[in-house]
Amino acid sequence: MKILKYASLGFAGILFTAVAILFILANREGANKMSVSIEINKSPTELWPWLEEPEKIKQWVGWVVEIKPLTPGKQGVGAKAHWVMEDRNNGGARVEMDDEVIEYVPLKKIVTRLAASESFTGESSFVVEDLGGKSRLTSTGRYDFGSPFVKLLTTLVMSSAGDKLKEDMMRLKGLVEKR
Amino acid sequence: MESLIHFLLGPQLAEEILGDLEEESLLRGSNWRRRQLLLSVLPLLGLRLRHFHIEERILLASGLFLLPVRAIDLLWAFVLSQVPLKVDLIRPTDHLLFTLALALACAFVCSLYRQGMGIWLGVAALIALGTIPAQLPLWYWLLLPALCFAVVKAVDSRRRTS
Repeated sequence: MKILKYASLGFAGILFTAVAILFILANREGANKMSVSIEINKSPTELWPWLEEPEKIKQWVGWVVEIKPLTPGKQGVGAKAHWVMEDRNNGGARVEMDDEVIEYVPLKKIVTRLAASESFTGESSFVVEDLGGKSRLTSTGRYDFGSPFVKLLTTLVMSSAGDKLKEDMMRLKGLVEKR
Repeated sequence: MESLIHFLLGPQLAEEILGDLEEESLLRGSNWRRRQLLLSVLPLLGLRLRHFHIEERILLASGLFLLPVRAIDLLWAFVLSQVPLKVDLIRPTDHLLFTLALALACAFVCSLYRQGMGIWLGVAALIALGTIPAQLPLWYWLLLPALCFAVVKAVDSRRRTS
């Protein structure tokens, strides 16, 4: 019984320390941001369609099931779309979110605002630099989570989100350079 | 409560002890009797389990090993499900190393409490691996049961030599 008592105390201590560390990490400046940059051996003109055409985006952003434009024919600021994604970590549940372009400079920059009801809101941007026949693509994301528990886990969530973004960008590089 | 005491003590002993408590409660009151019954449950449960070592080991392996290991994996699954642009059904290496460390700590606590837990924890580790709905690397499948088994063996052999 004594061992169980010590084990319980030890467990409570570890739990408290873990929560305290997560809380400190989640409240750092930039804890909810991520950024990935890659060089692609194609010009911005060849890269750009992959950043705004739904059928092309579906090929390199993992687990996207559908991107439905809500403002058909509209390009640039104000264009809206509805995304449906599959969440394999939640029994294949369908996750839906909306995005709206809030900044648009053709061949250079596209910034979108994302929102999934009650789950998160955020901004995602793609900046393309012309390196003379090559391009540098920098993607940044900033997300705010609705639930206090998920806020506490921000560091863990953003670390996995950063890894996913890297994977997606490498897939994009492969697809663009193959053409 | 009384039927639980009957189950834990057996009918004959329960009859005697409950009879004594009944007599004493005439002097001390029914609250005292209720408190005595409540305070007796855990030690009696412990005594009962000690008579059935196998049951105790199953209880330890599931409660102090399988449950925390599965709970931490559920937490990882929850973290991954919160990633805005969803991720694959995998467990990143840092998640796996953390779970491995937790599993070894649990195995250590279990083996301090009862010797001969090696096989039970090995089986519990395989159950944990089999029920995690993600692609796990081969090294993790091999290391988790093997290291838990090794921790138990090390504690058992240290106990024997001391």
